[in-house]
Amino acid sequence: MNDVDIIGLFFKRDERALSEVSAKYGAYCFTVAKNILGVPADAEECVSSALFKAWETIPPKRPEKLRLYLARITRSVAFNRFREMNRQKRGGGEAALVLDELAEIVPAEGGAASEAEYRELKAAVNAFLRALPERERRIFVARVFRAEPVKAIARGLGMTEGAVMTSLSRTRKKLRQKLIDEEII
Amino acid sequence: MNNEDIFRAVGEADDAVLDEEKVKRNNSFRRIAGMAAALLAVGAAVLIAVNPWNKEKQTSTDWRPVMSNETGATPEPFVVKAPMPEPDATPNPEWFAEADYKPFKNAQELADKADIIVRAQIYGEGSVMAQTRFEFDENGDPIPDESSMEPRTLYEFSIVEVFKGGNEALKLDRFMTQGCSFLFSDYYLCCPPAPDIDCGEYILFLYKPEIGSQWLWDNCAMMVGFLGDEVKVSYSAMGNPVIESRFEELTYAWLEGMRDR
Repeated sequence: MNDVDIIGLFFKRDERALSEVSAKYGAYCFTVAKNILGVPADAEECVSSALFKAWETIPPKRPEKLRLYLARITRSVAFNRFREMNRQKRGGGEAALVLDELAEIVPAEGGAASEAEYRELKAAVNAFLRALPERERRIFVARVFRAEPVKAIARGLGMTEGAVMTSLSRTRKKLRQKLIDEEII
Repeated sequence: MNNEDIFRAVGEADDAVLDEEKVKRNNSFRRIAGMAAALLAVGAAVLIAVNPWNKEKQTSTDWRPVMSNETGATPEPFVVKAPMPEPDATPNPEWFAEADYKPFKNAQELADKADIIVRAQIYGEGSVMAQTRFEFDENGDPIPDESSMEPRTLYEFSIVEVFKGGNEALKLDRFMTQGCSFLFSDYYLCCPPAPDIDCGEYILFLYKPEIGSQWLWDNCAMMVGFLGDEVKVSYSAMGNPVIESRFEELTYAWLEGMRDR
């Protein structure tokens, strides 16, 4: 079933929407959650929660790209779960490593951004990603958005792990510089 | 503001920048194109790969010597691997401006600036822990940082032929790749890049560090060096395909020059 039809089911409040979306994007969402959490059982729970959230938000929302919409929700649910696990010292998947890497841009110690600061940051990050050369963007998005392990990124793009790591390092430096230049950090 | 804000912001970026569907299509296309090219190249490439010193022209995309297992003293027969992906068409000018890019002018310069050039047979690999991020003290010496230690692959080789460097060259017997680990030493060593180093013959170039790491970094896809048991130098050119292919091109040009002598 195509995305438009699936979204149509959501709008009709037809519960087949959930089975269809699960069959089509469940595995993808599971991968995103598992990358972040590292624990399959927790990832499965996250996917269920994410699908439920999708059910709650469509309508009124009508996502342009259903897969990304679901991935965003899954990522957010999984990340909240990751924080919970962190508090309980239960480890986690790649998320801890990704956050460590992002601490090179902005340290972990700072308080969360205010609403206004976050709006600025979001716009700057978006513009930065748009301007990045495609190859660097692919690598960065795979690592930070989908929390993919470096090895998987390297395999997917036919690169060495070292090359992926150095590209990520370079992108982080560039992003940090952009945020400094724009006086966001 | 903290690192979690960045994580969140990336997650809320536009669909257009997060969508990897296009990427998958591109990768599939590249793979298919690569396989087709490999099939076409096989007939000729086998003949060339059997002897890397063959008079025929060698290019980075039509052959790669492969051999051996990890312990491997005995080479297996050479086989042909799929070509490396085409370099991205245009270098990003911003990249080069930022890196103060100074490419080798030609193969002669590549060789002239090297202190040691050897032909080496890589026969085994292992793993080492190496520092991957560096801060420097006021004397310019690297500050040890245990937290950035990561495993890297170590390759052992034996010298087959010394072109430059005499006895000094004969002290070398191993190098490391896969990343940006970097320690100061007497020499930088660089070798032709490949997606992964397989056992086989490679030409290794060494440069004394006063040439400047940035300069070398701009020119070489890999600069690696070990002397005895101590890790000496390793560096990577960020996987930049333009620089990698440039370095390969110069290496092969130099080889051709040597054969013509």
